[in-house]
Amino acid sequence: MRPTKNKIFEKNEGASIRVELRDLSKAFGDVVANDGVSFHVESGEILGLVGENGAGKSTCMNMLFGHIEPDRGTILLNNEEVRFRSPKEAILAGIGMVHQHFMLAPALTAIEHLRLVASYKAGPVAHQDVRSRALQSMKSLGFDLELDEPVERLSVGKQQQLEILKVICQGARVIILDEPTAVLTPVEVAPFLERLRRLRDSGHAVILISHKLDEVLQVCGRIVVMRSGRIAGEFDGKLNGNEKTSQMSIETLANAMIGESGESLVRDAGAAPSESRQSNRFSGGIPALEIRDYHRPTGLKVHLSVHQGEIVGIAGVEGNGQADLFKAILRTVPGLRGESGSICVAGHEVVHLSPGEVRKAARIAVLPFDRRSEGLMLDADPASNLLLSGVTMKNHFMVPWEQLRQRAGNLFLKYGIQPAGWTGAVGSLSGGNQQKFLVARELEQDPALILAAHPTRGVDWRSSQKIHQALVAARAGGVGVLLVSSDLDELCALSDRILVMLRGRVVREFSKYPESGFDVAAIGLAMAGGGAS
Amino acid sequence: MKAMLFRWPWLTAILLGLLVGLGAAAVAGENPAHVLLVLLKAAGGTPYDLGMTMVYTTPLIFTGLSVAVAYRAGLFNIGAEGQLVLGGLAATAVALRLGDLWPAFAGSSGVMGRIVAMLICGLVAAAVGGSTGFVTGYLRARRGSHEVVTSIMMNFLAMALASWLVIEKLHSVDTQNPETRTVGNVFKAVEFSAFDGAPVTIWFLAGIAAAGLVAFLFDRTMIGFRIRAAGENPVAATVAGIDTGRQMIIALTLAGALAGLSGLGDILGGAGRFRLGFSSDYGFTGIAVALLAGGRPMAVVASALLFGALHKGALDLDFETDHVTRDLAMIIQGCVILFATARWFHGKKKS
Repeated sequence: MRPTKNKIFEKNEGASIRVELRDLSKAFGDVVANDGVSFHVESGEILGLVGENGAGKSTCMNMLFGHIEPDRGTILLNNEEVRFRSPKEAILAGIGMVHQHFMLAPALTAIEHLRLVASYKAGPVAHQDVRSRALQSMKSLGFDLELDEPVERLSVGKQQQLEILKVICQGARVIILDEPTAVLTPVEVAPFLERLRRLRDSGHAVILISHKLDEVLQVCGRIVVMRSGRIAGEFDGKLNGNEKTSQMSIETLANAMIGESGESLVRDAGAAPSESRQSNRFSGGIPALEIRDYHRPTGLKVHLSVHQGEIVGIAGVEGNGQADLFKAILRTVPGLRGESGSICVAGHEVVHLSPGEVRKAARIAVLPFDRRSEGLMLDADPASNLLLSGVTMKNHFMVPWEQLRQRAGNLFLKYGIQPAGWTGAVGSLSGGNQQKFLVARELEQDPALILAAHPTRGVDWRSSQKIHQALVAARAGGVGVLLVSSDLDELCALSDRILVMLRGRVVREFSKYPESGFDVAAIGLAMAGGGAS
Repeated sequence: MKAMLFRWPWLTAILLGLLVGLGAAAVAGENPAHVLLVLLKAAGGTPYDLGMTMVYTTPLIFTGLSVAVAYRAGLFNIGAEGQLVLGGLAATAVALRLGDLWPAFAGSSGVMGRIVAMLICGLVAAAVGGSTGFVTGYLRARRGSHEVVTSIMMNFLAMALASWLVIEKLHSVDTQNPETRTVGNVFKAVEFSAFDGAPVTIWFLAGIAAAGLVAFLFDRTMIGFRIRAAGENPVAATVAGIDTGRQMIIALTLAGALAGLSGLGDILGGAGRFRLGFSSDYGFTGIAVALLAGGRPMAVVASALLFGALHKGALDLDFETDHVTRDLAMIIQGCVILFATARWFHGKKKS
């Protein structure tokens, strides 16, 4: 053994490390992403970091990893204050991050990746040393990676092992894993969790970010829950000894994540008109949307219906098939062999149509998942953007610009879009006003069906109210609405029924109780894959 | 100054380009003022000079429009060079064939006859250029082959095909040059006599008319809007029910048709025959023309005029100066484009 050559792997080895975040805050414009976040992690433990989308987990980790600088607060490394101005500085200090999207070159082999990063910290390293130490690390951590295979021939699970090995080679003692199990197949999860335990036992501090509460509960000694940029709770398994299970359960975590803010103003938006709507519902008309046994080989298997004058909410952790469901209805994904079942929009079968034909067959309003990339031409004026809607796409030859400009002006006034009378690029409007404009464009076209995804994401409270009112008014007018949202308050306030999607399927359906509304805790549980189904 | 930079970025680009070019001339040992004077005089000093500038401008308007149309759909048409060769050759071949079949018509010079002949040549050139563009568009939209790669390849095919046709099939027996016979009188483009013999043809006006039509298409019609939408945000366009692949095919076909027309002024004016290598990279200069114009059709005309003037003006540098040659025009062109595209980058950064 030549100790000097191996120092990259041995540096700090054995020495324990402790990282503490103290009162970290970060705001982007008016949006407070992190507000006084404090917690710590140290060698020999796995810390779970959970929370809904937009709760501030990524911002927090990006501050720890040097991607963004905090507005306020400090980071302590072994009780010494440090500032990371770039990820490079964080890496040199022993912090490593495995991103959800791998950063690997498909044509290079695993060992080549390791050689690339091995010299990052300690200068040139002999190839043989990299290999022998990598093999040693793999053995102790239980990795089964083929070092000489090009990355493109490795399975996703093995690519992930390589990513972890990379940060170890960089000398990381604190390892952040962002949604590591999201990319794994169910059989790969248990071995992965076992490797995490070995990583912990070898003296690393591990931060595990995950939406899957059952997995977090299996391996984490401590769990920090974030909500709306703050720490909503910290649960420690070790302190309570035998009572671990009672302290840390899916229920308590889900409750902390979602919050039980009964005073939510959102609820009021849906409450009032729900009475008048009853007459419209089940009036025997054709359902606005009826999906029967629809199966797409990419992992979507859905059976649901949305009646006229009904809002059906879809709850679920993002990436469980909601976006695919929209695409399947709008046919913006190509047809596939093995696709089966039927999707009827206002009585028209659409499975074999092109996107244009779908829009001709039925009037569908779409509030897409990403308004900037899927809904608007950011460089164009409001009039042009009015034209970019499936419902107005008529077979005109000439564009009626004068009419469109007038209409755009009127919509700005009616929906309170600021600044009124805007004729510049839509992309210059604030995010909330862009969304309001989109809502105005889509809902003002007398649709039969509204597909709404996160209709109020990134939108301030006042505008959210307007958008909710618009959706409720559409329902009162007999429109069927399919509403996807990661905001459970919003779903509960607006929906008549809530379906929970998990891995491309609708796993549970919840009805609204006349008095108490929805059973929020049970919905949260179903979203995490727990509870009786 | 700063306001001007932002309001008229193209003017900034031209001025900076000239500045660098003249600076290079100064380094080479010329008096920049003298060089500038030679450029201006040679580009428009006499009616003949102005006429020659317009002759060079004519094909650049068409190729510039061709690239601009594709650009609106978010595509790059590198194939204009091949399209203009094939379009021009097809028009010549049809004109020659018609001349053989109806010598009386080919020899006539009535106004109606010339209009019909111009329409025939135009339609043939546009159809052949358009089908070349269609192939590129189809491959991009339905098979996923990148249009830059395929249109470059199509250029080579077009050149090879043109060489073979001109040398083996359409070659004139009267000459050893690689060129076809001369077309009948009726097919020769109408020339304006105001330019002391510079062969400015009716195709110059046709180019301006084409720019007007393209502007109308994009500003006023749904066809143009759909192409624009597919170019600006293909995902949103698809969600709105627009078949973006179809828009790509339409745009590249239209681009091919416009490029197909570019050569007609040179071929049917003046000599009245197709010569191999008649195009001095009009197709590629068209890219620069469209970039400077920011893809706006009417600006393409102005931009083409600038590049035409630069091309003509630089020819005299060979005789009038001691230390620089016409290649100085390439330096200026290159710098103008560099500064014009730098503007885009700036815009992106700002948003």
